[in-house]
Amino acid sequence: MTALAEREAAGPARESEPGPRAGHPRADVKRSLSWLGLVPFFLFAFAFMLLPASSILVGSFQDAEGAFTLANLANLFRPSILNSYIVTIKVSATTALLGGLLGFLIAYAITLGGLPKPLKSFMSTFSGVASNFAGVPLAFAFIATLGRMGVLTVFLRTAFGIELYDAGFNLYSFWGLSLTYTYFQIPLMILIIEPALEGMKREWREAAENLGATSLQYWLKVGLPVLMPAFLAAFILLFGNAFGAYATAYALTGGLINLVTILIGAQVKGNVLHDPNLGYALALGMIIIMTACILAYSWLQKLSSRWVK
Amino acid sequence: MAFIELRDIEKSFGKNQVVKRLSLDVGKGEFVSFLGGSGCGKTTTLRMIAGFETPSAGSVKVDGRDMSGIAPNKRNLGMVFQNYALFPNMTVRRNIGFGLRIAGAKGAEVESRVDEMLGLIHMEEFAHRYPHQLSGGQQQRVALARAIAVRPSALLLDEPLSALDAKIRVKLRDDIRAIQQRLGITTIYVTHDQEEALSISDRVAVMREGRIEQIGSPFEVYNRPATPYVASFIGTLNLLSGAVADPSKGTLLVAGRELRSSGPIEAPAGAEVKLSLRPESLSIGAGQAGHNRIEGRIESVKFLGSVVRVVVETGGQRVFMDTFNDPSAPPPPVGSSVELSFPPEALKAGAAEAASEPERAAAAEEG
Ligand SMILES: Nc1ncnc2c1ncn2[C@@H]1O[C@H](COP(=O)(O)OP(=O)(O)OP(=O)(O)O)[C@@H](O)[C@H]1O
Ligand SMILES: [Mg+2]
Repeated sequence: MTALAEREAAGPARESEPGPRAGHPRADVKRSLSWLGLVPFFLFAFAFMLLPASSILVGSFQDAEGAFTLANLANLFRPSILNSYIVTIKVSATTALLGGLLGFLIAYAITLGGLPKPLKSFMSTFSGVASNFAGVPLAFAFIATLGRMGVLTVFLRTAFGIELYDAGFNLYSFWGLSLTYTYFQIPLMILIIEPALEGMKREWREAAENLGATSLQYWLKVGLPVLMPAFLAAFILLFGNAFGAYATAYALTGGLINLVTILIGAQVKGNVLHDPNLGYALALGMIIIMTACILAYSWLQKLSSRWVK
Repeated sequence: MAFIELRDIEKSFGKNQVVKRLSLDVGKGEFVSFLGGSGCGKTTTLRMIAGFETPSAGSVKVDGRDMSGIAPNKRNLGMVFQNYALFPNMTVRRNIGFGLRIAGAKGAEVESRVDEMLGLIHMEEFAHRYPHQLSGGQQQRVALARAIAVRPSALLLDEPLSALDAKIRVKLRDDIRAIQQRLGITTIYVTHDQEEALSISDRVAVMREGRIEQIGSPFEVYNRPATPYVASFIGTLNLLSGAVADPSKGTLLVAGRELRSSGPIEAPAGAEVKLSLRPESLSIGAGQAGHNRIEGRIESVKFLGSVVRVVVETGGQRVFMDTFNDPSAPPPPVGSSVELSFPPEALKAGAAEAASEPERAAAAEEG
């Protein structure tokens, strides 16, 4: 109830109350305390978003002595650093698309395809766990499976005479890293897209069929457009998920692939390259790219979901 | 020749047989309703005609063409679903034009047909709205227009009104019937609402446990129910018990009074039998010569609008009587004694099988 409504409701009763203005203070107190509920949010936003972001912003424009400089930002355009941004974006986009596509197909099989019930609930649980399985354990699991002496590598060699690494595969390369990321991207996609798929009414499909549409026509004109907002949201989430990843790549390639996060790590705690202010600038670059992504996303989202309530 | 022909169709889901050797002929331009309780197989039968389910046995023919093996998108049957299956990403105009576009119609052709449809459902001013901006009733109008736009050979409707509130339901069902008659389109209409079925159909097929129990005009199924189930399912029915007095003459003893029933009774003298009696066949007073008469005490009077329902207690049994509302003659007060009369033809003996159904109907009336 708003303070005003509260006061009005209390109005007639006021006559009988002892204090002439008994209704007022209570309502005022209520109004003045209503912002209290927002405190945790603002504290959170301040401590975990505003504070780090502003210290990154400030640090980016300071040299080692704390004086103002543009050198850190200028350094971002060094070819090696530009290149690591490009590699990071490539890894993120590739794994978001690949994981997104595969995750969608699996989620489709779970929800709309005829996957048996027990398998369904297993997949949901598994996705929940696997989407969080990242970092050193994931890297180690992949090394143990697909590394030069990995179980699968050796098995393929001994059983079929296939030499993965001679065939051009390398776990410690761009595609090896992408493959490893895909491991947590797929289940994350499943988790995100499953509710959207559950929301697809069987009647839409049947109505389309009844009106003469083929399966393909249904998907092009109804299914995909309806899912598009969810796809966009999922892609951005997957992209961000890979964009900020650090430990997996570091443990897997030991810095062979210079992701931006690995560069930042080297500046902040490395003993050779130690330059925290360049690290701040690198992080600022990431924030800017992510912000641009989110802006592009909300614009596309608006376009693709005009029909949503 | 029938336009839609169902021959001995059956459908089983696993061990559960839900449609059992069902046959039906629907004439061209005819409006037939499937009426029956929940789970009796109405939707399943309709979906077999539309092609969304494959019959386990039997055949479906439309306009002389055997439908087996023909995909739903090749059948050219318009379907309207229970829970508004409009495409949420398309405006009303786009929804209605969907089937035409799929069929390859050109822009101007689509637009003029869509305009025609919008006129038919009186929704010209809503053409640019999205489904979520429409009421349920409006959505169903659009769904109807969308189904009709492609000029289907027949229209299939699965409880299109059951999610709407009572007023709109009555208005829309009359609209559906008017449009159907104007276009002369063969229609099968699924409903579990007997009033709906009786009011808009050429014929009503009363279904029970996967079979058609009776099919006939609304007048026939209401006044000459073929089975006790049909009698109890359609309309309100009084169920009384009485003892047979003279089987060949068809007389019985109910609450100490001798009553005559519609014909001879297949039970020995003295046997307890169930009797059925429509509430509207009763009237207050002695009635004409030869009418049955019973006496009782008025338990309650319910005003249903044009009809007044009087509940009378007689010899431990409860009887519903419906009369038209007459402003100059209010019903007698609750608690007073009355004499009721009804013609012998209205009293039917031997409805024992359906005992549970009308009792449930009576209980619903009470609530
Ligand atoms: N796909 C299916 N798989 C298994 N059983 C089904 C399936 N579809 C329907 N049934 C069963 O078949 C029976 C008939 O269902 P149907 O939907 O035809 O009934 P209905 O007459 O339309 O009922 P309602 O008035 O509740 O819609 C029900 O017992 C239902 O559980
Ligand atoms: Mg049904």
